[in-house]
Amino acid sequence: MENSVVSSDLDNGNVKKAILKNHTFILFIILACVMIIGSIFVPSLAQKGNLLNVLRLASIVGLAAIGATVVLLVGEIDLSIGSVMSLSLVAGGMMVGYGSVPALAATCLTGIVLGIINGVLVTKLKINSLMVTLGTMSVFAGFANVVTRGQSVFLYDAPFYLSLGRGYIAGIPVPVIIFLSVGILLSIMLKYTKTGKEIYFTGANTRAAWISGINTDRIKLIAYSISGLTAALAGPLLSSQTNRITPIQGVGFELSAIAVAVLGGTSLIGGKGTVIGTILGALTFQLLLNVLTLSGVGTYMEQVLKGLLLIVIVVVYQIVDKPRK
Amino acid sequence: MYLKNIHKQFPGVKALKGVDFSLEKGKIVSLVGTNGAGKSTLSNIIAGIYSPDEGEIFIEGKKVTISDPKAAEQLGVGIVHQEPTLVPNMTVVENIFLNKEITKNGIVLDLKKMKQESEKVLEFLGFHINVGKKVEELTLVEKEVVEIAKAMLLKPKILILDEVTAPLNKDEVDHLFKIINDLKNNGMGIIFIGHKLQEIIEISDSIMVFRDGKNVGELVPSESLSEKEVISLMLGSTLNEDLITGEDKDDTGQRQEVLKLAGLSKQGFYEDINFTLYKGEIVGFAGLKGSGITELFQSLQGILSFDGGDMYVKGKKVKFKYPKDGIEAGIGMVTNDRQGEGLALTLDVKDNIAVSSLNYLRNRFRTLNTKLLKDNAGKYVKALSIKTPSINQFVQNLSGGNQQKIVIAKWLLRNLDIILVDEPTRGVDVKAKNEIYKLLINEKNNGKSLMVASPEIRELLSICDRILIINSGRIVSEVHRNAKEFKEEDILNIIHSSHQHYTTAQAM
Repeated sequence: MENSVVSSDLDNGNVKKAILKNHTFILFIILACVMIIGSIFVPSLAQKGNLLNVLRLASIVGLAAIGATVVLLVGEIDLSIGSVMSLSLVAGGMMVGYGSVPALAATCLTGIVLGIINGVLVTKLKINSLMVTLGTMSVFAGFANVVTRGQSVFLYDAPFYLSLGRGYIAGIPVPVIIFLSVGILLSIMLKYTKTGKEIYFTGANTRAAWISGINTDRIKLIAYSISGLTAALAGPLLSSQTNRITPIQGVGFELSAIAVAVLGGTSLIGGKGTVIGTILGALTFQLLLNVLTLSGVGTYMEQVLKGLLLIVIVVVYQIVDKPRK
Repeated sequence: MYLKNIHKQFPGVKALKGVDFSLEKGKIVSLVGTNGAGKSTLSNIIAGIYSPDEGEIFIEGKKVTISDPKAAEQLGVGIVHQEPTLVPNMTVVENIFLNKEITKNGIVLDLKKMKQESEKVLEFLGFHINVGKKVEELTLVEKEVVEIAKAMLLKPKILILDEVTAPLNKDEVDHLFKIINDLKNNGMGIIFIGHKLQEIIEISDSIMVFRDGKNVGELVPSESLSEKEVISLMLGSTLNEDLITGEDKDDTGQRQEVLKLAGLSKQGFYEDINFTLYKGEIVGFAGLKGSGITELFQSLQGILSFDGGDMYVKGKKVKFKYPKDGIEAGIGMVTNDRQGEGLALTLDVKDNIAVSSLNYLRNRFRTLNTKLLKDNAGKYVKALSIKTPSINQFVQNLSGGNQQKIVIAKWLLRNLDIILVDEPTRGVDVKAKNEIYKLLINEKNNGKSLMVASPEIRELLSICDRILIINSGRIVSEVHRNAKEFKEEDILNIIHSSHQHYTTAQAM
């Protein structure tokens, strides 16, 4: 039968809302716990230099995670984020001889184009997005290596480019400023524009969205372009940390980006999630990693824990979300 | 077999209110009634798909509880469902033995034995079907026979046949009836559910008539029993008593034409539809399940394409590629699946109402005017008396009737001229039903044009100015409110007789 809901459910509106808000609330709690417990065991965690470093890295992964969030919101997934980052970095690297600005422009443009390629494949050819982006993940990463023949590009002659990742404005790391600006912009877009509402509706029920007059293909295309752009934007922030562009810079980044989005409360089935959640998710994620690094876990173990973290997050949210069904 | 005082309640609906039913060995009892009268619920209870809230079931004198379909099988109840249950790309044997595979030593499938058994069952049914064939290669009758063979495998004592004749033509039905009579003569008790009354009179030993969850009479077929008698028992004496509106529109000449269909066709769904919709009227579309009305409506908004004929909106020829095009031309459909096609359940009331009108809810910076959006959503929540604690409530927490109103509100906010409603009150309780009727009539009085499809003729009678009867994708009749045939009885008669006519014609 139709699921007519019993009338008592009608009164639970406020409770439900509170639970939803709790995603953000829970995140705050987790963030605080990690911070407090972490600084007890690893005193160096609370040092200003370290915290700024955490913020900087959180901003980089957070940027890419914002794109991942938007794609998840429309009910799809983007596994090619890391590869888009590598290839768009490499494209910028080829232009770095002409200066920082052309290099950055090339990077962003490439990111958008790669995002559009993903979007077109998903919407026009109607291929499952998991498969499409698994495929393009390999294709883009491969191209990055082919174009550079595996070589790195050094960035010593591009001070402006480098300042993006390493500079400060009013004592705040530039990546943090870029991250927050993009975050605020996207947050406004999602909440206060037609496209934003349509992104949520498309993710919540694509068929109903389509019948309601939404061009769902266009919406998905937009989501993938945003993801391409944010992945590309995160690239220079990362490569300026190491002074060079390598064709494998983005490897594994999609995992971090998706983990951060999911940690921030974005639903894997679409229609639910916020940029604020993703921002908090990025901070929590990076802080956790930092605690692990400082306790001397080592890079390889870090990778293991990153993957485990993703699984744990999904399981925890599944449990938290259950009563809402 | 004997059932006593069976009650069953679904959220918002009392499906069965104290039904007694008995079936003897070697008899065929038919269940008839309008949609929602309770016949399917009863057969589903016997087959263990639902369990009754109250009442007792006896099989061969022993009291039993049928907790699930497996238990029903063990008690000797077999069912052939209305909807096909066969897997098309598997062979006949594989389908017959699905989940009942015979194995050697419990591991390896005993293909040979399964093949022999299948052939035996089919032969018993009087059919020679190559059991190695895939089901998708079979004809409709053959498929139906395989469905029966599947049910027969467990040698049931009671067999439920739920609308098995629907897709078959006259010859095929005759063939099937021969088999059913054989089964009956072998001592099987058969429960037959159908819509084609002539067939039912032909095959049954007795006919149980259902109305509103009760069985209201038992008829014994004889030469003199007519379809009319069955229909009038199905409907009871309460004919047309709840009509809300009653305007006759005779001024056809002056009326403003808003939609015109000229020979509209979509292969496999509807054919040669000629129809004109005028401003300020509600036109009903009546027909059996699968008559093509849903697809016709979908085509009008651009959800489905049509492949023949022309469509004109206010005199302008149109052909929509996307649902968006239909909306822009002023046409919106409330589909019969509001949760799957109408709503985003995880979003709130205001967003669901505003989703199609966002273009008009923006300020000069091209961002959304949140206040305007809230005001408008609130306005329709109030106007349609949608019961929700606030416009920020998630739609999934509302009842079916209120969800339906939200889908309608979405099109009203968009200010569409033509609203197509497929099954306006599906899964909606009685009170909300009346509210939805009033709402639709109100929109008509506001100058909107509505097309309403419903399996409940009574619903159409209460709100429509005229009713078109569609059968197998064609318009077979049109009944105006002022015509003497504007009665449930007569319309049902047309539906059933034209169906008969059509299937015979197809057989020739």
